[in-house]
Amino acid sequence: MTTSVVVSTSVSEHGTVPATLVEAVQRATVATFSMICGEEPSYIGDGNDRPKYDGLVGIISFTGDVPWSLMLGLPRETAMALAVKFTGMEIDFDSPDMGDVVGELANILAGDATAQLDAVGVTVQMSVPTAARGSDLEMLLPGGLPSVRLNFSSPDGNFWVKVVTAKPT
Amino acid sequence: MSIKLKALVIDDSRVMRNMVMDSLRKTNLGEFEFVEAGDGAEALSKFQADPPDIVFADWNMPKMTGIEFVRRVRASKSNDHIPIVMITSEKTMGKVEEAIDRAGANAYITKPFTVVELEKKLSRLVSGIAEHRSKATAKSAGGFFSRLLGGG
Repeated sequence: MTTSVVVSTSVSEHGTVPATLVEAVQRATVATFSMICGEEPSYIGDGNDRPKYDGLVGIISFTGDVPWSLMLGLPRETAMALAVKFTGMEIDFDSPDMGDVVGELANILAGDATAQLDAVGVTVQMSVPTAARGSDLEMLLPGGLPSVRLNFSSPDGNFWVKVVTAKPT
Repeated sequence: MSIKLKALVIDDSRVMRNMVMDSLRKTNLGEFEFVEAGDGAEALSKFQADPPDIVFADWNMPKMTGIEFVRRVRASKSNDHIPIVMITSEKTMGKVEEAIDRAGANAYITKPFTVVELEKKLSRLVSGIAEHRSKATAKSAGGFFSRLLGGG
């Protein structure tokens, strides 16, 4: 199946995230969540002007040609719906297993993004995923790193993927 | 007759271990008994204490990666016959195939996977386990008769 992807403007207040990276993450997100949910999520734009919420964030870092990090942000309702689709069972939002699920979803998304980047000649290696939990969730990044937050909507709820690159030298 | 298989399932995520075990139970490959490990180091210790019939190892784990676990298991020739299946979210196929070949794993499955995909990937390996068992039984029986007849 061919999926058309709207390329995000990738300029944040702290600089530019390479368009190659943004495009790869957008494609990977659509492919991964289509596979898991059975329906394609829609890209609804970039930016941080979305309401804050209780939720979980899965985080993966990459080393290699482009050092960067990926954060997958899932509000409570989206996380619970996706957990059922992914594992086939209800998982308590407050349990450590929900952190495992979000970490694993970030891991699968990162694997797809790595392959998308490899296809355009960019080689990166993934770290082990971690998950963070909180209310009024927003990831605070150190030292003004270039970043872009890509927002998606899906039948299982909205979610976002943040791409953060190392500080330009 | 359904083959009984002791499977070592290695993943730092309890949810993923449960998903792997649940999917294996749903296959028609055999009757599974599971031993779980949360990282490569724990898995190595469990493997050495009581070798399983088949291993399912996550690639990307803290302390010891799945690839390093496979290398260490394959360092002993006596473990050559035990199939190891890598489970990975890596989808850069050239890289995956090269790494598992070099380490000595027998197959890989990419996440997310279905029961049908598991069956397809594993049926050959399970046949190999059954064949190895019947050869080992025949060898053992041969040795017994040889000793019985005074042949050593």
